[in-house]
Amino acid sequence: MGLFQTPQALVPASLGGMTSLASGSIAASATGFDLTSISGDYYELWLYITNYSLSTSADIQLRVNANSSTNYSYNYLETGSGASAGVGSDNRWQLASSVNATQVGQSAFIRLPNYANTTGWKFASWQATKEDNKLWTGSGLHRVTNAINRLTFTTTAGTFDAGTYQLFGVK
Amino acid sequence: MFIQEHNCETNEIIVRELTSEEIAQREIDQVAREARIAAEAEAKAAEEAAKQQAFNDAVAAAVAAVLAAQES
Repeated sequence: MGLFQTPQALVPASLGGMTSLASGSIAASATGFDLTSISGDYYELWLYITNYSLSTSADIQLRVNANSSTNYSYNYLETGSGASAGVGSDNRWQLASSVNATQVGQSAFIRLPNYANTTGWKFASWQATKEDNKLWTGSGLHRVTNAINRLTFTTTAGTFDAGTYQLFGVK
Repeated sequence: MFIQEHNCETNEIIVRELTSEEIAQREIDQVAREARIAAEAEAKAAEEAAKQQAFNDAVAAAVAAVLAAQES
């Protein structure tokens, strides 16, 4: 091996690559969407929810594997007009609280690394917009070792008026 | 109430009624949210009251100091 060659051991077998696993429009008047039978063949999952709006002010939340036990932890920072921060131990990940119904074009992005691992707890990080130019940034832990194969994104009240979702597997 | 279910393996998309468990969970979520909002409002009111009390105490202390100086 020459002096300026990269040792092969440091180079992954493949680099990068996003595969679309699901995409669609959120049905109007639906309380959310439920992505099932997610492949475990990737390093990470990236979920985009774009241009959504709600029928009433509500929290948006994510559950994995239809689990609603109190084994989710999260922390958040809300910035914009004023700032606040907090932590939660809950039966869901709260992605943003009290998203205003009058605001259209809200977006959220959730990243779940190592989701298919079956020996460690799972974690996620996310950003979600809110009204009044606010941004909610959070991270969370799901204190369960099962591989994630299902993601359920819902509101706590009312329904969606619009929105789209895209789920990618990342290698 | 409905939810959109998307099977990532078959790409089948259906809109189905919430199950009884999902409806019950949604009601729990709503109650928890209302309780959290009430707690946040209560905490904010307590913080404002504490600030006002601190201001009042400071004014009272300043007045007492002025009166004491005048008497001496």
